[in-house]
Amino acid sequence: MNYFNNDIRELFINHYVIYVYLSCLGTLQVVSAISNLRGIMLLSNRKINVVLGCFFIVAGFIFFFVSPLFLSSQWVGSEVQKATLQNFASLRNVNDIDGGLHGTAQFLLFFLCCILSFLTSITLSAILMITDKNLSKFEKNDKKYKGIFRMKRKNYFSSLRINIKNRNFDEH
Amino acid sequence: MNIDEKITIFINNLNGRNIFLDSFFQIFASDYLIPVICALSIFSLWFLALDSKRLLNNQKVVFYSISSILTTNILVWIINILISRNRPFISNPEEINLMFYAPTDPSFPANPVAIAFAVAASIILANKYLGYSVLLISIIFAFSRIYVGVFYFVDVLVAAVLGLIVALLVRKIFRTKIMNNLVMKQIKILRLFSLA
Repeated sequence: MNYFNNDIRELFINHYVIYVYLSCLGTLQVVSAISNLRGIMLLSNRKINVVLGCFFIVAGFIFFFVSPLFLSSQWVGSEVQKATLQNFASLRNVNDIDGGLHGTAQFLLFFLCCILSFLTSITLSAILMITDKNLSKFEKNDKKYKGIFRMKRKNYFSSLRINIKNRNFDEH
Repeated sequence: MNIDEKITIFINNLNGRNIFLDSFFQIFASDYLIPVICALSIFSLWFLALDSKRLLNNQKVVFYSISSILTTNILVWIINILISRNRPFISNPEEINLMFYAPTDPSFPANPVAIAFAVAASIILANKYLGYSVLLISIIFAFSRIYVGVFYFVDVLVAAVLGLIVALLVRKIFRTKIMNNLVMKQIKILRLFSLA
């Protein structure tokens, strides 16, 4: 491995993290909207939330596979002007010994991005639920949900507080 | 030349005729597309909470899938030590047109294909629609790996069978009382944190 490969790997990791983070965030939004978990949803409207989720997923994929074409980097240099569809398709086919990512690194970064996307979702959703008057009322009058299902009516932090207070983790 | 090489060369020689097909399979064969889709499918199952029974089943399948991936990786690693088969572009440089980076690890069996099939087989148990979708893209992934010239047909076929068998075995092991209790304990701990 030389310095050139390390430079590529660093850039590769940055792009991969953005790609996976957006994809995880998008997936989380789509799934939370399907499951009606309002404590994770970024928007109160389920249909718009699904569209937003799909947008994040597509944006992540496009960003990762297209971005090298727009970079005046060692990958493409001045050749960017002459880039073809073939270049676009093959730019991300980089071996892990030549600057790509090894399977273990991919797994660890993916896991990190899952956690980050979840934290982003629950935090923004909690802010939305607290500031939205309709959703705040909605939060108070529900006791039948437990575990993750509490997020159908409450934000994650309220749900966590109640779960720990009751230590009720046997049944939904 | 054996039949495996003939099939591999036939599939590989389909490339170079259509730029859109070539580009499609180059992207599909990427290390960063199908593995990410498989991982996203597992991630989505964890939060797919339509009712409590299905949620519990989905979350158990997440454990099966992760265990299947680990087991498949270990098995492929052992087989790679025992059988060191060269890549098709090394053994048949005249006939194979490489459209991918040149991997340095052994060809048999195809590790990423085995993992994709193991994930697909695990997910089918919880969600047929999602599982069959992952299975379909795994088949295209397997084909694309031969198309770009990095695996033989048999590498991919054996990997697919290996992935499916591992997923079924892991499921069977996880259905034993000890393993089921172990998974349930972890789910209950996560439930305390509103994560399950």
